[in-house]
Amino acid sequence: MSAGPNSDDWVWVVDPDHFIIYEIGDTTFVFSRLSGTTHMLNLVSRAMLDFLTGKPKTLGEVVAGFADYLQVPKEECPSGVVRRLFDELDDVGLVERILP
Amino acid sequence: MSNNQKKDGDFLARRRQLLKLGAAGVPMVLTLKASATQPIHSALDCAFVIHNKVKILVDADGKAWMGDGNIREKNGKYKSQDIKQFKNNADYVFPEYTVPERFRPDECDEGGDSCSGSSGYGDDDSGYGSYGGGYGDDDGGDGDESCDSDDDGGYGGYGDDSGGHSGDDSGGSSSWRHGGGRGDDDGDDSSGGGNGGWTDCYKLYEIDRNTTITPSDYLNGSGNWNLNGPNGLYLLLAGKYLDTYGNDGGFPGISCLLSILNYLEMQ
Repeated sequence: MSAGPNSDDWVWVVDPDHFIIYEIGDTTFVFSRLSGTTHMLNLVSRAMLDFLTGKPKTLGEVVAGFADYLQVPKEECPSGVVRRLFDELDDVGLVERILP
Repeated sequence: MSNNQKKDGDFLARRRQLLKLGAAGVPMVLTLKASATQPIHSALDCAFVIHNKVKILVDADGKAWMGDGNIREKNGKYKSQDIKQFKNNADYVFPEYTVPERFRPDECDEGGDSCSGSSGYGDDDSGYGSYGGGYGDDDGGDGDESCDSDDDGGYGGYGDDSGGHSGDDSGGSSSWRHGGGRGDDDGDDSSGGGNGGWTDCYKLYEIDRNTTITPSDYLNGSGNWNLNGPNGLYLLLAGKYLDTYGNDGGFPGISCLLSILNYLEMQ
């Protein structure tokens, strides 16, 4: 959890080993082994989860690259929406900060 | 975990549509609480506070008036004069059939205490046309004016389009909002219509000041509404308002309710 202002230097990642994932149609159920809670993701939030899996990114990189990842023009994917989406995942503990 | 990127154009279009909803503020993540029957995202746990006392008056036709006026009650009956004043000063007015039967008065003693009208309860003759902000002349009342001693004093604006909020009521479906306009309601309250009359043709719901309403409390595990009690009725009316006017901020709690409805529509 960021629990405060997000520094540009902070690096975030999604660790798939911390989840059990199950798909039903366009909905993805993500059970967090860390929190014991289950989250339902739609196609957009699932894409964010995938985008952050594997290669750690700063929030700036997430904002800059997510539209391309979604294959949509940047105007359809404003930075504020990306940040809010990131925050939603962060709020429920699906993204983790990599400490230096 | 990235197999979603390999989907076809239809998949991309659906995701693109969801992205637009995200841009509109719709939550993208739903969290299941410990109880599997309560799939509620934290963003759907919104609540709002009713800062001032709210009263909702419902008649047997399912019309509703929302306001804060005083209505005296005795032995399950309400003072007809108070009813009339409450209706004329209501903040919001909803047309007939708005309120489901379960919220309506159980019975209606058409005999009244003094004057019986044809309907036994308030009669806004022209239906929708007489609702809302500033309806004007609604003279076609078939109630017995002689029984309606309320008209004789205190409400000088009745029957007069020149009143402050009065508008033109040509019989169309006018606004539900701010029904406090001094329009005419002639022939109204014909049951027990005198100053001393009492009527049981209405049911009154009250919500205390500083009441917190959490709409998601009225959703069951299947995502269906289970509205009951005064707070449930308030949410029902808020939903009706939302259907008509959208989220114009004019109805307390409307934004909170909208966020939940938006979510439910996505499912």
